[in-house]
Amino acid sequence: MTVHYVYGVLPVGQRPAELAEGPDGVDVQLVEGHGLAAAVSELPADRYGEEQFRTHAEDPLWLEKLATAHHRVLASIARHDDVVPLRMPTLCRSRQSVLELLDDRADVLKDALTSVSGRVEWGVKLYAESRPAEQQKVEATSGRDYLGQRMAQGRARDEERALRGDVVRACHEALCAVSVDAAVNAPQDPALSGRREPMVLNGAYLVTREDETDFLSVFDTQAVGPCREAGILAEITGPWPPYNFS
Amino acid sequence: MSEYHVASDDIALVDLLDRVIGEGVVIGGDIVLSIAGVDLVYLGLRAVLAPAHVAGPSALRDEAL
Repeated sequence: MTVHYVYGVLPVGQRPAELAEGPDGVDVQLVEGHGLAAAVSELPADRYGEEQFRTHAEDPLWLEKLATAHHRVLASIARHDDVVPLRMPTLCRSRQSVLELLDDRADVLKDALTSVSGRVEWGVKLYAESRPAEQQKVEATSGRDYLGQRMAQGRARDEERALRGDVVRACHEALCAVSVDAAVNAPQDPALSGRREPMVLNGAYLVTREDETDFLSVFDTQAVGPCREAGILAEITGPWPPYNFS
Repeated sequence: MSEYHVASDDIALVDLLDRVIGEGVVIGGDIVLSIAGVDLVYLGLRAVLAPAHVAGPSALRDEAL
């Protein structure tokens, strides 16, 4: 028994310049139909079938192996060619059902291919590096004085928070100006990222290949610098296949 | 342009799973092996990856700043 594991979808007739191996060194083949080509591996069902995914759905080590293979295949294609990533796992019963998938979803997949054509994804994460100063001890001469000092501290914290919000928004807007599309995702959980600083932006940007140098330069000049001054750490990842835009 | 990272040690697992499980075209229906069921199981992990209470267009998290 095998399953047909589908990584993503390409334009038909385009043999990708590079095509990495699937999990355990398994070949990746192109199944062509309905003006599209699916990148597919035939995998043993007893190792990578529906039941295995169910069993290991919350097993980070097992998922990492599969996610790495999934990404390796898509990244190898995306290095030179257009590809629409499918969510992991997309498992078909047979080659015939891969063709049915292409037929059923042809319009959606073709639209997605058009929108990612010649474009890649970059990720930008911003972390609030240090929290606003903790409430300082108030040495007051009177109740009125105490309240006044407390309120002044509160105003200072609000101003710092507002300033950081402005910097994060300005950074996102500057990156959007050199992108064709953007997605703001939920912040990653510190338990998984291992980062203690709160994530204040988890952005993904769809960038035309010709504009990548501009995008990176905007990140350096309009994100890293202003963020550092505001106590925000900026990190960039990529290029990624266009996971967020398909 | 910059090289694609393909080795897992170059990529944080959280970034990888964020995209590979959290994004991409979702295909459902009879063609695919009970994918909706698998997707449901993933909700547990995805909930950890992307807490719902902070999701949404304005994930510029004021409360964290």
